[in-house]
Amino acid sequence: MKSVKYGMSILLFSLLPLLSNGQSTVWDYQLIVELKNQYNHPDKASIINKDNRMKIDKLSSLTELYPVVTAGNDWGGLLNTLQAEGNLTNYNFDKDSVRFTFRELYTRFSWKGSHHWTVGKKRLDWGTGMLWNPTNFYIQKDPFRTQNRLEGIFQLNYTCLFTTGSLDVYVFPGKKAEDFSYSLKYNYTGKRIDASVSFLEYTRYQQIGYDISYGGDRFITYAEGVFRNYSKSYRVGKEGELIPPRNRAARFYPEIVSGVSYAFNASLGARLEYRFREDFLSREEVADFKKYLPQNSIIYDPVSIGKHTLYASAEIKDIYDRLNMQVRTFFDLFSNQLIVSPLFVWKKNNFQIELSSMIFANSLAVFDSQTALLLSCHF
Amino acid sequence: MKALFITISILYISTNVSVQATEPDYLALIDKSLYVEYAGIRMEVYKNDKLIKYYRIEFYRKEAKMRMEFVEPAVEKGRRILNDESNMWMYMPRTSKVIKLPLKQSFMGSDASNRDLMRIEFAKDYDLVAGEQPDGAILHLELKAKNLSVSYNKVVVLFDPKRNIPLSQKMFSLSGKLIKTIEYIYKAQPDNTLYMNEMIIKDELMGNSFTKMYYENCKRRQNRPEVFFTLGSLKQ
Repeated sequence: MKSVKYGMSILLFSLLPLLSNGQSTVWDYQLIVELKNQYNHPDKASIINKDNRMKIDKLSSLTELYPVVTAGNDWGGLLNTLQAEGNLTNYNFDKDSVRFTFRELYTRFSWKGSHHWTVGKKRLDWGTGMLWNPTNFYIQKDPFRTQNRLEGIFQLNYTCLFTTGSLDVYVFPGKKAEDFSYSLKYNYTGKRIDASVSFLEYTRYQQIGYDISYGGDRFITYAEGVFRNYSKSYRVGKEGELIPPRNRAARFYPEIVSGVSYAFNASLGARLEYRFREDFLSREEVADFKKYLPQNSIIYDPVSIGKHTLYASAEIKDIYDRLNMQVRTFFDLFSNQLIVSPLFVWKKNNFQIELSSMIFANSLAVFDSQTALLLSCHF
Repeated sequence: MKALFITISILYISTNVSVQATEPDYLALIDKSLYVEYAGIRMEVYKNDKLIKYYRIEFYRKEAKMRMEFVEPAVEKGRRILNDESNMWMYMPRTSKVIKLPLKQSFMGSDASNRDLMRIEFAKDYDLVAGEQPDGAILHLELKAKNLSVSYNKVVVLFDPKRNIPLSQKMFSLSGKLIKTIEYIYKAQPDNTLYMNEMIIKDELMGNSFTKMYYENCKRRQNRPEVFFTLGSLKQ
């Protein structure tokens, strides 16, 4: 309720300039409906969820509705844009689980195409990694569905564009004074290459980040990394004690992602991505983690709990891009967590059907498999 | 005799022999005739004469830089593609992310590659190696790629020298195999200038499929600033 009130305040604030010149305002609407049904097959031998201790339902459903409204206005060179993206969510068709939030709600003023001021809740578009974006301190993508619409972060942003790059200044006000964060980001574009460096003051911590990508005729290669003196992950001590993230902020941790994608022809492509996280578990710590389960299960991540994670995928599609088949594999080199996930996507006009399965092959896994059917409609 | 004269003239130009050029710069004329800085495009992809998919696109250009903004269908709305000569990116509105694209990848499931549509510069990519006028009206221009990074090694363009417009082009691989053909159809504007109105791209390797692109509201000039064609602007 609080977020709706907060959202409505921004909306009204954003609408003021638009309404004052209402006749020339260009409005645009879109509605996206996503219906996901999932079958979960718990792993009875799982050391995390022995005999389904977590009481996970075999069937689950998620219905999401995204109304998107955009309005634009030109005041003789000063362009004003309003973007509102709501999200109405319901779990298992249960009326008590209906939630509404604004994923994005911002207004932007643009002067002569070069200067942009944004106020409101907006997604962060940082990083070149396809699955993992260490530079994005706020939110991470779901690696099983990277095209999910993510939540934005409240920000004040100024962007200055040049022909060879851009400079961004961000302020992220928090609820309390000590939550105040800000960032500077410089983006460069050269021949076949683009790169950025960023500095983030995140509450009382710091993060230095970079990303780079190079495009060839048939391939793209990219890298992204940060050095930061905070961690969002727990660690497990020798005696099985949990070390919370706030106690781990004494030194700088690197997190690095690099990857390559290759298009063999119009139908066949492949991708490889690697992630290293210094602040995650070493091989010895994985052993300690297993030893002191289940009290340490807060550390558990279904994809990877170790320092090194590999992702590989192969994609085949019809040349009209209507039917797309992928096989995706995640592997943690220290915990040996392995996931093989086939995905089928079928598109027709404004409809899309995705059938995916995740097959987990490790005693740490909560599930033997999860299979999901997702229907999306765009209006 | 006339055909022989044209052929010899073109060969002289292409080999940089320092003679007074009497023939027009055909590659520059092709580029000029296809150059628009704005167009509304409806792209239709057909298989066995049946419409498979379509897009409605706003197309912007400034010299070699091009930007496309997808308006329809609803599932692609808000998607943007930018080519700044050496890079190509696609902006995905649902994630607010930009991804880099390989130049030789198929363009949105059509018969064209990214490069076919987002890099249209004959003078930069090709040398004119031969030209003949077998039927006395239409010129057959043979172009050779300047380097291996160009998508097609050889291109044959049918050029109308009276109206200074290309009528069609055939693209060949390094081994000489016909890969694609493009047909250009024009429409006179009220001010008597000719604008390309329709482009038909046929993938000869597929045989049964082709892509039609209808151009409307074409403008030779528009006032988008240079920064509109940058990665930073694509995200705004």
